[in-house]
Amino acid sequence: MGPSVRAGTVFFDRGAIEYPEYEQVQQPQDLEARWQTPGLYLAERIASYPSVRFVGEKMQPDYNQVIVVADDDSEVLLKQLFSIEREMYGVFSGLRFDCRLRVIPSSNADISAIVRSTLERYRRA
Amino acid sequence: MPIPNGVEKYLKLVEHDLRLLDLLTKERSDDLATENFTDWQATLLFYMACIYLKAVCLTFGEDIQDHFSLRQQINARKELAAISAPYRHLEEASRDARYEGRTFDRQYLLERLLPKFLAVRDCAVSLLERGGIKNVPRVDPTLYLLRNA
Repeated sequence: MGPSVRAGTVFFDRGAIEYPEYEQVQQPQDLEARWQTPGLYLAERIASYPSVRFVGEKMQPDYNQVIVVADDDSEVLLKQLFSIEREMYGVFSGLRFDCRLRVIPSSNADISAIVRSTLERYRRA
Repeated sequence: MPIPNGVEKYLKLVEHDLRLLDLLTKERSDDLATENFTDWQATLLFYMACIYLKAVCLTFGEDIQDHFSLRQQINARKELAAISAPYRHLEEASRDARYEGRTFDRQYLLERLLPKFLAVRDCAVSLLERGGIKNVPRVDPTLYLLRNA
């Protein structure tokens, strides 16, 4: 028996037709579904830098705001941050986002207002 | 090759911004003598870099009217790859200055921000000349920034 058509849906009778290539097809259960956003992507990559205190993310009406709070803006951190950001323009090419680096040393200011107004993606312990 | 409309206007704007930097770093009247304007000096470095790149994008056929679109261009185009990080540092420093009241010491302006502006400028001038634009101004804010006490 070949494919049958009911109400616009195609059903295949796998018992009747051989599909030699079928084993090569990736099954849905093998796929890893994963929620990814610019903030999560950046947090995962930048969190290993000791001067990074916090990464937060907020959906604005027409763009995604990512905020990185760091103790300083050393050249090492800037190089890494802007390199990741460059990748993000490829990964999230259809999405408007804005990465903002806030330099707020832990010694002289708290960041509770930033933490409260964004979704936390990383916070230094 | 026809010169895209607007390039000349943008290049004049870069020179205009340089003259404002001159004004900001000159000796000032007593009532303003102690005011720290390094926030706007850093911002002018960013604005000049931004306008240079707006002119470059016109030669690519792109009319840029917002910062996101410009960031997209500098992060996607091979021709601008080398200056994406320097440009972004100028932009973030300028945002700190305008929105958070950050000021900068002389060393930060001269050793961290100025070289990045010069890198963006040189890249832009080279691309504009390659695009057929003649007499592209190569503005140099070095002497003005050296005036900072």
